[in-house]
Amino acid sequence: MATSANVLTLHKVSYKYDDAKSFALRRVDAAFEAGKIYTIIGKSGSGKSTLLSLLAGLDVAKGGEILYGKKSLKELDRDDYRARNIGVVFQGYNLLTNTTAVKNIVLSMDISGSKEADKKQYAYDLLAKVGINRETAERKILKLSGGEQQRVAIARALSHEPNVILADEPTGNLDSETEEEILAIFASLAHDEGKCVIIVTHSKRITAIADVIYGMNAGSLTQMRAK
Amino acid sequence: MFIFTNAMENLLRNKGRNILIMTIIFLIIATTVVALIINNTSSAVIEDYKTRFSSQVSISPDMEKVREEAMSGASGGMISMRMPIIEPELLLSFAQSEALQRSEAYASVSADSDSLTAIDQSDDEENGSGPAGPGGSISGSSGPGGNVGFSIRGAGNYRLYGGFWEAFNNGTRALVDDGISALPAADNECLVSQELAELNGIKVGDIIRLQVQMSYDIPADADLTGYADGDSYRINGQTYTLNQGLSDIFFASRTVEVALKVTGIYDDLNDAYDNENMPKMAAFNHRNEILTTLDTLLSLRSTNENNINLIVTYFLKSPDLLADFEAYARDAGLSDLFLVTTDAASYDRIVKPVVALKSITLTFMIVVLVLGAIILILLTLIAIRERKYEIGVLRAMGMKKAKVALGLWTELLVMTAICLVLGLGVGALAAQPITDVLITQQAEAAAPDTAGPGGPMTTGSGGPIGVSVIGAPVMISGSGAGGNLQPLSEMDIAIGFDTILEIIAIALLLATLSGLVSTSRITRYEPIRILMERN
Repeated sequence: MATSANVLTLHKVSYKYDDAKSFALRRVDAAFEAGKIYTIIGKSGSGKSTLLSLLAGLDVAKGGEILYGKKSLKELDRDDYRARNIGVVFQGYNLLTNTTAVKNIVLSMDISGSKEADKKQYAYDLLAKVGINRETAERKILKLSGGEQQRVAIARALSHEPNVILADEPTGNLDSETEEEILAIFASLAHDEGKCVIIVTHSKRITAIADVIYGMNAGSLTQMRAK
Repeated sequence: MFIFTNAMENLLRNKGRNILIMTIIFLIIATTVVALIINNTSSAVIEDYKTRFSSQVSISPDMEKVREEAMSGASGGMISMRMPIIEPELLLSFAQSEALQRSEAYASVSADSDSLTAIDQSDDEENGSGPAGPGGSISGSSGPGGNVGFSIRGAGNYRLYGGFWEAFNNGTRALVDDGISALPAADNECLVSQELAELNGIKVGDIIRLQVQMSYDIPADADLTGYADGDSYRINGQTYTLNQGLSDIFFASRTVEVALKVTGIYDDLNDAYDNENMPKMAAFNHRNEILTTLDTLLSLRSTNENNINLIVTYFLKSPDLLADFEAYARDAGLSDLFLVTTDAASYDRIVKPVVALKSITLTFMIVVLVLGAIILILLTLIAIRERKYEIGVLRAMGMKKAKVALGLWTELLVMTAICLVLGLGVGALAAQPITDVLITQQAEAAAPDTAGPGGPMTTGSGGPIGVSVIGAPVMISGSGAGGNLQPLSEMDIAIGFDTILEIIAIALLLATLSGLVSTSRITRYEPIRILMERN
């Protein structure tokens, strides 16, 4: 299943929460290639976010294996993996709330060891790309609206130019106009820049632009459509 | 670098919480500074007094043995108690002991002159309180330590000192700047005071003549049958005049003529008298003191003569060497009638309040450090709990646990550094008044255990302590103000480099301890759990 084009490969991945009776993921097999947009759809509690956490290296599979390229995540330093290779847009944004939008971006770049000469300017540019102007960028996160926070979260996920972008309902709080803009960015990242974009969503607009759609049901993943 | 920058920004962002933590750190450091300063200064004072008192040897008569000897020699219901004596030569020979670091010796004797006029001599004559010539019945002697003693024998308007140059070393006496005054370089040379020189027209190079009355201590078993008051008595190659005193006891004395060449004139910065209440008598006036060499003075004496007061102070290399020194002295001929001791009692009496103060501050410091550390750790734990989400986000972004911990430790370290500066300043300022209050209380508590008048002693003012031996053949005893020593009631506090280093070490330890607590908590946190809890 793992091919040279696969960025992420899941091989019979299982996961069970410590306090749960049943498995959240059941022997999931999947492959995610560079240059494509993947969407994972499914009911709430079906295991979509759990799968995203495992792909992000935030948690460890109880069974099976996840490969990044040809290397198992078990062999990699998961902190470095997250910092350099993965950009995550969390459903709850997970921004540092007591600091500014631009500082969130710069800090993410610092953590990833970005060599960008002017990180702050780069952060402003990135924020502008997702519709956050300089004035808003200097505001503390708690002073921003839900939509603005979501855009900052997307900008942060892109800040260190990761190979894989994982997004959990990234446009849930955005108006349709902004959603279009964000989707265009994701599409560009995948199709122009060769990134692998994996989005957990209920949005039909997103599934419309996806190259591959996976359906998640009771911990099992099924490929539903591929362009 | 970004960890440090981020830590700085975090400090400013979380002002309320950080001010609370800094207040606790500041209180811990300030109280520790006070306690450490007092503790270290106390240690220095104790060590100083320990060295001073327990390394200076006191040789004094063992009164119990003297009494026993007197009782055993009683005859016909008469008990004749004589104080034991040590010959000056023997006293000086003890200085050769290898147990000693050094020794100091000087001697003095009363003198008169039929060619000089002493300062305040006329007042004596007007008051009728003192004789002008040799053979008088009363004289005063004023020792270098400011102790005044009376002697019914050995009259004199002058005090001839041998080897007493300490006043020149401590600056209270100095040679006048006449270009020719110099300290005596050979025996039979002397210095006179400026006032005495002016009164008598003495110039450098003049010869002055003095008469010193030497008394012979007639042995108890000497047969003086047939002798009467005023008879001559010849012994040891010297001729004495006998004086019959009370109970028909004879005293033998002779007058020694001394010719001394004046090599210099000294200026005395001290008052002429030890205090204003003293009678203005020539014998008490420091300006009548004539200074010569120790050998010159000792050469005046013949065997068993007892007028010359020889004071020898021995300083042990270490207090532990007292037994070695005593063994040497006993081998050299020191009688069993003498005790060889260090002045441990004076040491104990003086430093008792300081020891108590040190104990109080040390206990206080330990309590503050333990309680402070517990409070600080609890505060840190609360702070970490509050920042759990922030830590989760940072970890989710890929920041390693060690870097998160380093960031938190940097914050603590910066707060500690600020508190250290403030705490050192406030603690250093508060240490002296706190010490004053505490040591006064301790001195008052210790006061009932002490006896005798005397002003309070302060650090650095050792004064004449009971550490010397008066080696006069007539009497030997501990000299100085040993009985008047008061517990220390003042202590000059100073913050030393060692104290600063200790404070820094303690502050670093506190910060590190709190940092370790943070680290241990962070290690338990998995970012996904934190974020899931939050979301």
